Amino acid sequence: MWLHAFLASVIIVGCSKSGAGGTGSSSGSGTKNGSGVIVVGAGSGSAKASPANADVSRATTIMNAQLGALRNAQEAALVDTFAPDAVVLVPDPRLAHGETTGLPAAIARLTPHDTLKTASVTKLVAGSTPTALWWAAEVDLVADSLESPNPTKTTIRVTELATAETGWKVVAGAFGEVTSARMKSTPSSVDDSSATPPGPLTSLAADLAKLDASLASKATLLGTDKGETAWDATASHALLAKWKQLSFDDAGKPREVTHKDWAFAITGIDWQQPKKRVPVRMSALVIAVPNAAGWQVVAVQYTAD
Amino acid sequence: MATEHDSERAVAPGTNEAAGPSREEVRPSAVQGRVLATGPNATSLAALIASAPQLAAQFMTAIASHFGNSTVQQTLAVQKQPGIGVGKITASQLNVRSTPAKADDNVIGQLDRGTPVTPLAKRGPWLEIPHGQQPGFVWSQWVEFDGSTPTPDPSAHAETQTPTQAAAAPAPVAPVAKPLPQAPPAQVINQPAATTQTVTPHAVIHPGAETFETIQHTQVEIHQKGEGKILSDIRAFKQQFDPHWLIQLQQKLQVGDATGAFNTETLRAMRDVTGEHLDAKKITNETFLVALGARLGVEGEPFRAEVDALGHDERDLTKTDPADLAAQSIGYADYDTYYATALTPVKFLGVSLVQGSSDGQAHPLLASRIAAAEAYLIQRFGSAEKAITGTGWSKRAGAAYATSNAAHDTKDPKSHMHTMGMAMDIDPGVNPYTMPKGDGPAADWITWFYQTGFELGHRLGYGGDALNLDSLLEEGQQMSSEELHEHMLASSQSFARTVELSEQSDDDIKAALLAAREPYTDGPGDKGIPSLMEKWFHPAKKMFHDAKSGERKFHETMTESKELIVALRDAAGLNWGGTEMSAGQNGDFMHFDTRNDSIGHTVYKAGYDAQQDRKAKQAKEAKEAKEAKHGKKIK
Repeated sequence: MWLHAFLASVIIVGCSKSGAGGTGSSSGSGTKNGSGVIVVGAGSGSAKASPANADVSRATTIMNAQLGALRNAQEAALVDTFAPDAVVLVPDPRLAHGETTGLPAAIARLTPHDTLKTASVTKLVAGSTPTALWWAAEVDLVADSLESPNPTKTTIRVTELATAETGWKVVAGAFGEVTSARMKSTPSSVDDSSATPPGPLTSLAADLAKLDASLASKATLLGTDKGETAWDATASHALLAKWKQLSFDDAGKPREVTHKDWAFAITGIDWQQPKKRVPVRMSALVIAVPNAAGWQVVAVQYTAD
Repeated sequence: MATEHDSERAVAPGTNEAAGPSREEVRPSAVQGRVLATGPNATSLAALIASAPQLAAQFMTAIASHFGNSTVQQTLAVQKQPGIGVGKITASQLNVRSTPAKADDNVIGQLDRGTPVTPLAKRGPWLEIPHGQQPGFVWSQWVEFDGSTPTPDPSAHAETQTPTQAAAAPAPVAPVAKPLPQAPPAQVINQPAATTQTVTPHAVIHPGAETFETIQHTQVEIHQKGEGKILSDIRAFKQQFDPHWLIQLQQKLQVGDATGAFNTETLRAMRDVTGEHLDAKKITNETFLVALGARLGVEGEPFRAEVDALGHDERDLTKTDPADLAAQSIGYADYDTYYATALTPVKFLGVSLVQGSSDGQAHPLLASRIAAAEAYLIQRFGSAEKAITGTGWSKRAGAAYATSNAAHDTKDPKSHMHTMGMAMDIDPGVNPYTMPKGDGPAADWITWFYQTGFELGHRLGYGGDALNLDSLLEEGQQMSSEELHEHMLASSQSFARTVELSEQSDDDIKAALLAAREPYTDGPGDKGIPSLMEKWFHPAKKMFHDAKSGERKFHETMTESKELIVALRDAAGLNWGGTEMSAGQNGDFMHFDTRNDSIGHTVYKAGYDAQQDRKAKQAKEAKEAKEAKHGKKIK
């Protein structure tokens, strides 16, 4: 049941570097690149998917709505792409609909003196079942700042889960700037109103061996640092192998939601490093779908708090 | 700064100034979102005041006799307004007070709806009326003259409550002005009765040239030479007053503006009671304060506890980014250690500052200042929730940001007060940074745009001051928080009106500029109408009216209420970026930081100096590279 046939279609959506122009599809129905995946060209922030794959098209539609709202500073439109109880890592866990979340600035890492100029999807990989849709992506953002003569360029990594029963709203997401995780006095934690008891997925985020064993065949894995991107299971296993010496612990209150067709967990991660006074703090989003043996992880992202 | 001339011309272009109230007749009080005692009341008051000048002297004599102390005389020596005429009470029950201020212990009676009253004079928003053998004061909003019918104003409800009820809501506080994307044409204060009471937030409001209104709605004489510096130095003191101690002292000193925050009246009253020309050093001397408190019967300790704000690490000399040097200046190994061990999550009035790109963290110095503001506001309003309502704060704010990549960016490493967790932004979406000069062409243009907009509004007669880098800093240094707020709010609303003018046709804009109280000419030059049209009004229309994005949707330049500014500036001792940032950059109305504290200043200066050194080094390297390329010296 898991990894429905749609998952076989993995798409990379490229965008023009200039960020100018409209959708600008370079290939219409898409072409194959050297890695054997479908490549669709697109303009600034517009991910035009192959019409042959309705589910991936839905992922890009949601991303486009989010990036369009970000570019136009339309907070309500951005928030509306999320389910009412959705929790997002930005990079710490917050309610997407929270009164004081400030979702646009939180996602795009905009200071109060910045104005977002362009938002371009440089890569997007999606998978789905009939009732769930998940994707991982990288987005380049360029902002003008009143505090600097130079535009600010930021790359964020994105992992999201949308579900049919919410009308294809996002129920959980992670938006993390590419940066090294660092020591912080206090771990971030899911708000009391959203916290749940830990379930089977929560512990996977800190137990890298168990996570490795739970990966689906096309799972994506996004880390915090430059180069830590794995867009399929092979790369994900390889990335986890690099991390196997790291000592992670669960931290803070988690949020784990289990549905018959999908599940996700959001949790804090502490990484205690030798001779350091306080741990490095991260958060993690784990998305899974069921199989006969339990849950198989289809997407994971760590964010640097 | 507003001048007498400004106030006289506080009307919109094209209106009949002769029909409007003069400066002597009405001095509207700037309160966020409303105008107190303006419109029909003011107009009828104007006519009546002029008819009986002899009552002014009687009024002042009666008041001085009643209170019998110089402090009160100082606060009352304002408008020379004699008898006013017959009005009617419009509230179901209106408190009569012994002093023109709201306090728990000065209610001396109540008047029912319809009761006729014959005010003797107007004191800011208060009317002085005969009441038995002594004068009484009623809130003018609830007195109808000449058939005008005040619209019930929820913000003034405290005056229609019994003292017990009113105690739960300490002071009438107006709602914060809302964004005005569809604002109707600006109204003026001499409008017909039906519309005056629903005056828009950007109606003409001028700071008084001789007085300002306190958050207790008393009128106080504007700053005297040197007072601003003393108040500023008190704010910069390493410890903040305990609001519970200070309000006792203020009450003992019979300060009308007794709030628990140190203000102009308190300074004057302390000087009066001691007979000394007290300066900040003496006023923050704990021995002196304890003795004064004991003499007056004030209980408790004058100050809140001092925080430990220094690190004790060995400096890591391999870390040399500006943020590293700033952290090392107060005893941390480097910036990352500072971030990890010194900064902790902070809340303001129970609201997390994890908002937008802020991680909600603060250095103990900022955290202690925020806690001081919170203690003051809870003392004043009764609870954090009531304080949020009372200050009109939207709950939007942030503290530290630009703390990870930005602090170690190879091209442009940040070390500003947000990076260091020593600054907070209030309602950042609607309190813009208006004069960020020197940080690139866009920042320079924004600075020019806002300075020109403030000047346009001022010259057009919309009120406020022609704010620029010089005048902002000067007003910030000279004025008390309450007076300063009036000037900034009036200037903000004036700016908004000028932005709205940009939506009119070129012909209408030109006509307004030609008819300005300081007219513009239709000739060449930067201040000529063609240039202003091209460089200011057309871009303004595009930025504010045609913009598809949320950028600059808000026309005004600040929303913070006077209550909030007093809390953050006077009670917390924070530096307001709106007026106190620096001589080179200013007008960041969302911003509050700790740079006036000695430790905060050390961090600020270390970061700033490192940035300057870095820029100088880069410029030198660029020059040398260029010389090497061209094989000759370049000047």
